[in-house]
This record gives sequence, C-alpha cells and structure tokens, in this order.
Amino acid sequence: MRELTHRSITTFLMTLPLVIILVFFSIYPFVSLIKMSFSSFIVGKGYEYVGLKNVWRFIEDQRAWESIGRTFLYVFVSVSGEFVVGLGLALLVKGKFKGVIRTMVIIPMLVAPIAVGIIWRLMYDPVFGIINQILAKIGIQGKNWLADPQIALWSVIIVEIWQWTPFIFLILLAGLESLPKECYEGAKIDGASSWQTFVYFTIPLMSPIIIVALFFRTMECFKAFDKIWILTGGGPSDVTEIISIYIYRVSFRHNLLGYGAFLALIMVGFIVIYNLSYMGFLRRKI
Amino acid sequence: MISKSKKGLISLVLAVTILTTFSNFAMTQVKELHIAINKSPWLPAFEKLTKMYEGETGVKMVLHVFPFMGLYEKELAAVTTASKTYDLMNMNEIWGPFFYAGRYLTPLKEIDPEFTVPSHLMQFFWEGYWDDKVHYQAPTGVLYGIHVNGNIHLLQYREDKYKEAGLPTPPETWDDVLEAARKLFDPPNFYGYVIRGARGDPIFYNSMTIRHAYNGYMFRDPLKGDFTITVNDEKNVEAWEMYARNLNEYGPPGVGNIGQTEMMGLLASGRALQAIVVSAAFPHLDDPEFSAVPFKIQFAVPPKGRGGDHSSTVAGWTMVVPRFISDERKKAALDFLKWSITQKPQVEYTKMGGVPVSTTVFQSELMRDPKYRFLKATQDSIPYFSSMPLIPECAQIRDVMGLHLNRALIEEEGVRESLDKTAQEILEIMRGAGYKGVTIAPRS
Repeated sequence: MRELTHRSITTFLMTLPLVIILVFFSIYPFVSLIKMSFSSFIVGKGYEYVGLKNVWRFIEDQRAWESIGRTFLYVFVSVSGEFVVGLGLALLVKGKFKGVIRTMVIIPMLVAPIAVGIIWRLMYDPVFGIINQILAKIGIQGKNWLADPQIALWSVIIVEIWQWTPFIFLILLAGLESLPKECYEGAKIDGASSWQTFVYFTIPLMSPIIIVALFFRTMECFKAFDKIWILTGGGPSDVTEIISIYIYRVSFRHNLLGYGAFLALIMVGFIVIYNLSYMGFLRRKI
Repeated sequence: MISKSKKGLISLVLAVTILTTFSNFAMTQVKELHIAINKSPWLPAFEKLTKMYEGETGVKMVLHVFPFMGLYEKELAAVTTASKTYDLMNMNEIWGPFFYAGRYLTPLKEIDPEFTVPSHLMQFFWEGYWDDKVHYQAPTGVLYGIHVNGNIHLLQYREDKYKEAGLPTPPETWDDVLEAARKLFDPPNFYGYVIRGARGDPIFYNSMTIRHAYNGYMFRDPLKGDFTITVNDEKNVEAWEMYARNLNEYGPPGVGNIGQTEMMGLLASGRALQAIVVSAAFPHLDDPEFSAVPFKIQFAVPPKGRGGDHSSTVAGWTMVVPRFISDERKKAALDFLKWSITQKPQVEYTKMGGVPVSTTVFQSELMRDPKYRFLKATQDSIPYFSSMPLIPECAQIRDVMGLHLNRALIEEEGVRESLDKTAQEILEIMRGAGYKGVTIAPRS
C-alpha cells in the first residue's frame, strides 16, 4: 500500500510538467479562443461579449463558405495526388536505390514552407521562371501559373504535392519493405499477376499504414498557410484563398478578431470531426 | 551639539541629494531601446543608423525585425496586453489610426511638452497625427509619431530608352507615359510599363498614385468629416481605365500576381522600362550585383492625370511610442527620434541606403551625386504628397478595394463594376463602424 502510494506520487510528479505545459499551451489558449469567438474586439476597449453575432455573420458570409469549399478541394486533391505519386515512388524504389537516391527524394519535405513558396514563385514566374523557359525551348507557350484564375489553385496544389509526397513515400516504403515475403511467394506459385498481387495482397496488407499516412497528411493540409501566402496571397481574385488565409485576412486585415477567432474555431471543429471519424474508421480496420 | 533645526536641514539636504541621485540614476537607467520594425529594403540602412546612435550615446539598440505581415500582430498583441516589450514601434499608415483611436500610444507632447516638429521635417500628409474630433489624421490632431524613412512613390523610367525614341524627359502626364509605353513595347525584350498588380496591398497602393493624379479619391472631404464615398466616380473610373487597361496593355504577362519583388526584378533586368516604384528601391536599382541597368533608371515626380495634378503617395511608416512603458523609456525613445531627424544622421542614413525625412539633406553635397539623383525628384514631389484616408477602418477598406482592383485587372470584373462593388463594400464597413449618414455619391 505504501509502495503504491509512493508510486502514485512519483507518477503524478513525473506527469505534472506535461500537464502544466498542456494547460498553458493547449487548454488555456483553446478556452481563450472559445471566449474570443463570442466577442468582438472594440478599439480601445478590448473584447466585448456579443452572443451569437459571429455565428449569424458566419452563416451569411459567402466568402467564408467559398473558402471552406476551396479548402476541401485543396486538401482532397493535394492528399490524393501525394498518395498516388508517393505510392508509385515507393513501389518503384522498394528493395533498391538505398542511400543517396532515397535521401534526395525526401529533400522537399525538409525545406521550410516559406522557402518552398519563394522557390516555386520564382520557378512559376512567367517572364524569368524556369518552367516557362523550358516550355519555350520545346515550343510550348508558357502560362501565367499564379496569375491566371483558371489555373492558380492547381499551380499551388502542385507545390503542395511536390513538398509532401516524400512524407507519404517514406511511410509507404517502410510499410512495403516490412510486408511478409511468404504471401508474395505463395501468390506467385498460384500464378497471380503483378496487378492481382498488388490489389489483393499489397493494398489490404498496407491499408493500416496507408490510413495513418493519409490521416497525418490530411490534418496538416487543412492547416496550410505560409506557402500559399507567399505564392499568391490568396489571389488572383480569391481563387487560392483557403480558410486559413481567409481567417488571417478577417483577423488582421479587417481587425475582426472575434469573428476571426470564431472562424478558427470552426476550422478546429472540422479537424476534430475529421479526426474522430478517421480514428473510428481506423479502429474498425485494424 | 547640533540643534534640532540644523538636524532637520541636514536631513532635508540628504533626502534631496538621495532623491536626486536616484532619479538621475533612474534617468540614466535606460541602457537599451527595443524597436519593433518591419523587414524592408531600407532596413539595413536603419540598422546602421541605430549603430551610429549606439556609438554616440552608448544606448544599446535592439531591433526586433518581423516581416510586414507579422509586425502588425506583434504590435497589436503588445499594446492590447499592456506589454512593455518595445520602446518604439514602426507602424504602417494603415494600422496607425487603429492604434491612435484606441489610445494605445503616447502623444509625443506628453513625453516632452516642449517638443515641436522641426520645420525641416517633410510633412507626410499628416501621418502620425490623429484628431479624435474629426476621427481622422489631421494637422489639428495630436502628434503620435515621426517618420523615420521618407519613402514615397516616384516614377522610375529608363531615360536612355526615352532619349533613343526621341521622347521628352521626364514624362509630364500619364498620357506621355502611355505614349512611351506604346512606343517602347517590344515583348518579350521590353515591356512598356509594369503594374504591381497582386491582390490586396500591392495593387491598392500602386494604383493610388494614378487615382489621386486624376483627382480620384475615396471620400469627398474627410478632413471636414465628409465621408461620402466617391471611389466609383468618373475620375476614379478614368484613372482606373488608364491603369488597368491602357497601361497594362504594354505590361508583362502574369501582372495579377506581380508584387514589389517582381516589379523591381523586371526593372533591374532591363525588361520593364517604367513603373511607379517606392524611392527606397534606389540603392538596389543602381547596384551592379542586382541590376543589369545600373544608373540607367531615372527618377521623376509621378505624372499629372487628365484634369488633375501630380501626386506622390507616401509609403507611410511612422515610429511611435507605446503607452505602457515607463516615462524614462518613453523619454529615451523620443531622444532617439529627435536625434534621428537631425541633419548629420539624415545625411549618413541616406548614404547608407535609407530615404531621408528631413529637407536638410537637400542642402547637402548628396544632391550633386548621381548616386542620389532620387533626392531631386523627392524634393520636387513634396507639394504633391498624398495618402489614403487614414481612419481605423482603412486596413479593411484597403483589403476590400485591393481584391476588386485585382479582379478588374485580371478581367474577372469590369472597371466600373469593380469600383461600384468597392463603393458598396466600403459603405457597409463604414455603416458597420458607426459612421452616421455615409452614402455613395451620386454619379454626375
């Protein structure tokens, strides 16, 4: 009994710093965010409680809804693209090219998003950019990659895919290389084609790993901001304005800090719902 | 034996001596000044200026440098939480009124009742002043800050190309600029005129110079409290047609995403032949490391609009003193500001690549040096300084207008349509902020 009490105290003391950190850096800011969401910032006075005013504002705010729709499109296309390319690369590299090539493939992931934004902004430049220069060499008319409202969002998505495919690639490659060889040998003896092996063995065996990889990427992708801000600032017009950029504009350009907090809360809500449904799905699968 | 009265006198003298010593000690306690500042083309010059002050006074100058988009959040957080982090904050014109109206800053007269703005200081359209009665920046208001960098819009054009084409220099009107753009346009080698057309601040700010030159303003007479919205009147439409349609016809591709960096890159590469650029660009455009056309770009007062006059928009950054720091720190902050606008530091600042705020530099030897040829254009531009109407809602208005102007530029909206939508949204912002009786001016 005495030993048990001693152990409890030790456990409590050991976890206390983490609890304090959690309270100060997660719980307190989150509670503040909720408080701010139902307030308005009045110049010279600070925050004043406004009840559900921000909720009604949100319901009527067409730009907010458009930016949410755009965010889902951005996340869906980016993560899908990263998955397809990442899986392809992992299958291609599996069992070979160890060392330098694998390291080179993951370089984009190691670059700061701001730097990625600057690099791609330069590459996309219609006058000096390397992309249009290469296209010109092969006789193709270059595009206004970031200034044409028809293609700007897709140009930004390409950058997202370029930077984060290595993350999915790494996870899937580790998964592929840990799959039991016996299954493949058995399938080969039974005369299964490569496609059949892929569909009936690789994908089902890899599904928990795939789900984890997609889970992390989707969550991160919802929070995208810095790269897009550097690339387009949400423009041209508002074609690349996803919800995080809209929240920034509302909060720090329009000085509507309370409404900005409410939008951030909505975003947190989306991510939480997404997480819960994903975790439920994950539990059923594994 | 010492009498009681003598004892009392000695005690008093001792007390006064101790108090004086301690108060002097406290006065000299400010060993460091913390400045929140933006990362800008003129930051290296400002850094050198602070080193110069350090050398002269021994006060350590600590710069807290943030990107443009991060500085506002830091400053807002500092003042709303009564933080004592910064002694001086560099403040963009569009944030100023929000901070002035919120009483988050210290009026300079409150720090030193004797302080007056020296007559040699350029007047940047009353930025730094705030009049609570008219709810506007006005000379009748309270002084909160001083400019430390006299950045303004100048026309920057390739004088050599103008001369080759037999065009008179400098161009006097926007029609002259358009004619030159048409004559010199030879894509992809040369673009006649380049617009800073990216959404938001870039296009709003860049186009303001031409709108004001055409007498196109946002409000009818804000100095007199008349906030009737005129942003979609015929003068604005005409200016906007010239900018987004006529001049843009001779511009480079992808103009809808061109920011300051791209614009300076196009000029420095020699591809773009003229543009409205901030004067702070001068050291870069003459730097052979950065520019393919050093000393070929000439500076001029921005041209006249049809039926209007010249107009040079000020790129307002005002240095202000927060309210919540101690009196000693406030005084030390003001001491630095007073020193920074005197002639010697101003001349040195210009040599280091900064843009002066004092007209005393125009009397210096720099005026004869071709390296500083932008000074003459700056001096000539003083009567034409203009600014956006600075009210606490101006950041919001600027964002709304920057969106619609960008839409018009990429032809997602028509010229008139974009200005009509801007007017309507400004009306909603103004009414939401409690401005009484604001309307959109009927079209004449």
